[in-house]
Amino acid sequence: MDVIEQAKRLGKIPLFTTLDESQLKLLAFTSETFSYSEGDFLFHQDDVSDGIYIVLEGQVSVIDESTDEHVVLSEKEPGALLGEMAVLRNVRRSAGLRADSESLVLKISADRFIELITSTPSFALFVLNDISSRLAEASAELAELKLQQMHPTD
Amino acid sequence: MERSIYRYILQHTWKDQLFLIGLILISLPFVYLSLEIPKIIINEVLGGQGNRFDFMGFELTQVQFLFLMSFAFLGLIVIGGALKYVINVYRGALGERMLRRFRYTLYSRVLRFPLPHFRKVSGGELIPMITAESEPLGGFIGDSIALPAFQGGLLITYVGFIFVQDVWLGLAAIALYPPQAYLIPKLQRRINQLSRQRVQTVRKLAFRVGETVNSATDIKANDTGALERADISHRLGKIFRIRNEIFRRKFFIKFLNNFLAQLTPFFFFSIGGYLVLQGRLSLGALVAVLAAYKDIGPPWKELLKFYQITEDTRVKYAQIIKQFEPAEIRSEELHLPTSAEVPKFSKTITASNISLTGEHHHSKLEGINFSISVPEHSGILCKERETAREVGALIAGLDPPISGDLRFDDQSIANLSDQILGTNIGYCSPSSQLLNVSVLDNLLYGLKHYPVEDELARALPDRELREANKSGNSTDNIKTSWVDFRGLGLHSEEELEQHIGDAILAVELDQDIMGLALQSYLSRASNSGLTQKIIEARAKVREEIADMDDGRLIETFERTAYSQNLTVGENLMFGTPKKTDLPLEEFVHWEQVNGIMSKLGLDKGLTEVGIEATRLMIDLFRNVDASSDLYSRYSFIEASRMDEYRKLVEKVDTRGVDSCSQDERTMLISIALQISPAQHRLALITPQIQDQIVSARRQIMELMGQENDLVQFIDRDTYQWGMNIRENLLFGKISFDKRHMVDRIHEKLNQILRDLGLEKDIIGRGLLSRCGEAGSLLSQTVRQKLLLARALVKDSEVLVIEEPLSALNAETQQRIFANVKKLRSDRNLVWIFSDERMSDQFDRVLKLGD
Repeated sequence: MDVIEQAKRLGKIPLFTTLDESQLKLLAFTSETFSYSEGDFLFHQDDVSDGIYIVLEGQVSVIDESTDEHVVLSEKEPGALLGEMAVLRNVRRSAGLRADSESLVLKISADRFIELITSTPSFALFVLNDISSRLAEASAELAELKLQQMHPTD
Repeated sequence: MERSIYRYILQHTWKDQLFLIGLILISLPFVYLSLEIPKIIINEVLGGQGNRFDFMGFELTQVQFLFLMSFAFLGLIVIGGALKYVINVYRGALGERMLRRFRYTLYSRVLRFPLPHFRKVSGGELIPMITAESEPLGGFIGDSIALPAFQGGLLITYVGFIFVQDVWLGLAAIALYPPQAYLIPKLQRRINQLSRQRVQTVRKLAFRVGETVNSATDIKANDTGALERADISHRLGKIFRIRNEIFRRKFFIKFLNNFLAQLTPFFFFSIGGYLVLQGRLSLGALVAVLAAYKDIGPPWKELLKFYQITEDTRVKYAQIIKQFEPAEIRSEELHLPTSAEVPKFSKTITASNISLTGEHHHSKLEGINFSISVPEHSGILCKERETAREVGALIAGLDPPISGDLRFDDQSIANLSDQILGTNIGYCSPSSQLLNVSVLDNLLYGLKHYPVEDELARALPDRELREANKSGNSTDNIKTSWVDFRGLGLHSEEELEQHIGDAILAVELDQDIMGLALQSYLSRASNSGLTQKIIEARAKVREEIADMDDGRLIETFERTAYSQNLTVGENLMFGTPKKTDLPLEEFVHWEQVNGIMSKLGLDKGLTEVGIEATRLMIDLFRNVDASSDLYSRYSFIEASRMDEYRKLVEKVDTRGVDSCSQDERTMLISIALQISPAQHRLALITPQIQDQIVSARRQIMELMGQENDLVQFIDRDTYQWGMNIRENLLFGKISFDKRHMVDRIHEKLNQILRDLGLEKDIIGRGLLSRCGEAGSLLSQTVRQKLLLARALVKDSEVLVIEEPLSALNAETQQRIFANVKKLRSDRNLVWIFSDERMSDQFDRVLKLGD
């Protein structure tokens, strides 16, 4: 898959919809591709967060590695964006990421991602929006949970 | 340090200065005679009466006497010149020696600064003071006494000569000196004030530039470039105004001097001429006076210039030493080592009522009381990073408390020398830094207190020793062995090797060092049969690694195949330059290579690729600021040449490729040469071009042959000097999209090397890898592990460790912590940590803060 095709794939990811075509191409060009075999880890829980990943081909799973039996938290299909929150918060990985089949992924380094945010205000605004929405969703879920706790019979 | 520069100079050089004055006094009579002889020649030989001259009892003819006097004059010039040469060389050496002493003193004082003081001063301020700013002091010190003595002596000799010819002319010659001597210092004083201001302003400018470098990220992130530029512009403007005023005043002084100097000949011509006409003065004497006066100018000017420099230097000296005299500077007695045996701490470290509330302390902790038993493992739980750092430095004896007392085995820190503290205590914290030396030298840094060889073996060569003594410098020989392994109770280098190996294993650095080794280059000079063994290992490596991951891990070098993981240029050359100065571009445009390429039509193909790649770069970097580092990291075209390429592509679009000149084609091909299909994922290098490149490669190899001087072509049976050990072992490249497998590949290579008995040879290469400034060539995890290993190699009585492995994941941190505890099972360990869960792993835990 050449860099132009990769740029098109990036353009379909909601987070990057504010970027224009040449910005997308530059983003793809300055990213790196990696191909993983089934069972390879892209990163482990508690690793330093050095970039964000986009699945181009294959399937990957988010794995809770805190116990010996690795629990699959979710499965991701091509087009999924992973690991951006840890980069934004500058914290270590909260879970591991494992390839479940032959997978091709694009990695945008943390430096480049942050550079993109600081140099492109519209993108920064979009990221802010995205995070606010997620926060709002989480708050709503929390409120619902609390409500359920208060009225367990409902 | 001496407050006054003259006192400083005399304190260290009075004997040399006396010697110089002696030499100068000897030279002056020769100067006087060189004025007298021309007068004799004019008056007595040429203008004299009679043909016979009596010289020391000999009777000479006029011609004989003329030649005698002329040769005497020549002799005087030679002697005078030789003496001047000796004086100049001597005072030059004297100045350099004092400069060496001065810089050494300043540097030594930096080592004695109390640690908190380093937070107040910046390298940006100290560095120019020790380097550029002190440079002129050296010249001045050589001149400080010799110059006024020599030039003053000359002046007195010339004036004396004039007075001997005629008192009135003598008075005329010096008539204008008093007003000059009165006026000029007055004018000079203001200039001095201005130069003082200038020094301070420039120093602040240096500090700001340093700050810009350090906070480049913040400036970019906040887009405050304009603000910073305005600030620097303001400072530069201030410097301009000061300098401008200095110039105006300086040149006014010069004007005044020149004017007064021109007035004196007026007196000579009028008064002197009148006296000659009156017959009271001979013409020869007037000519000699005029000659003497011509010579007076330079020494007088030199003296005035010297006066100005003196003032300037006095100011500079005072300002420099002020920066090197912080209030709590460590006393020399406590700082310098002695030959007495160093006592070993073995019982307790006790803090009583210590406050960290000084202006440099952030933690503001008061009333710190604790007692740590040296044989135990103590943990200090501290959640605040600043507090942890300050407490760590306190226990490590690096920041002696201002109030309260810290005692090691009942001895107050106030009485313990740096030697005792530094030998007994090991320290590793996030602020610890690696030096830009090899990994091994960094590991051994904690053992290098003093030279360990016997007196004779470690002595400096005589000449160096003499000079070091003359300038009060260290006489320790840097080139001798400093590694004190016997101090650790080890008996041989083999035991030391084992000791280092233990530390490396404890911090799990072995794989990293192997990684460094595999990425290092061997030099032809240091080859000891290792390369042959590496070539032999290739078969086994191929057998065990090439098939891993379905053979996609490594792309083996094949002469007959295009490599997706090499650039176009590398594919063409298919080798490495034998000399360092052969850029790929130059190789490709070498006439014969070029000929092969055009015969195959490859030059046309690559020009087309170059055009497409240039178009893409122009498109991608359209909105990227020219100062962005994205250019240097990713672009095929430098930011400064983007416009040139844009115009070239426009030309191709309007007038076709055929309109391009040879230089323009070269520009385009140089872009194509940089493309690597695997890395750049550009579908530009078509199978047809790939075939052409492989054909060209074969023809180039045939043409040049393996024995050529320029390129070492890749060959299965030879060691490739321009590639690192890993590439030589793999005889290929790790596929670009499999770079994440590098650790696994290293592990596998390590195992193969172990089986072949090569592990030790190769790992030795890794230990010799350089770390870069502050370890910049290593990853953060390797840096942290190496710093901890360094503290373990030191094997000190007390070991203070503060959060050393923050870059590693929790599991690895825990494993290494357990290894360190095991390695120091019978020795002290003070571990400062922030994760409460670690609390149960110590003999005793102290809690600090809330």
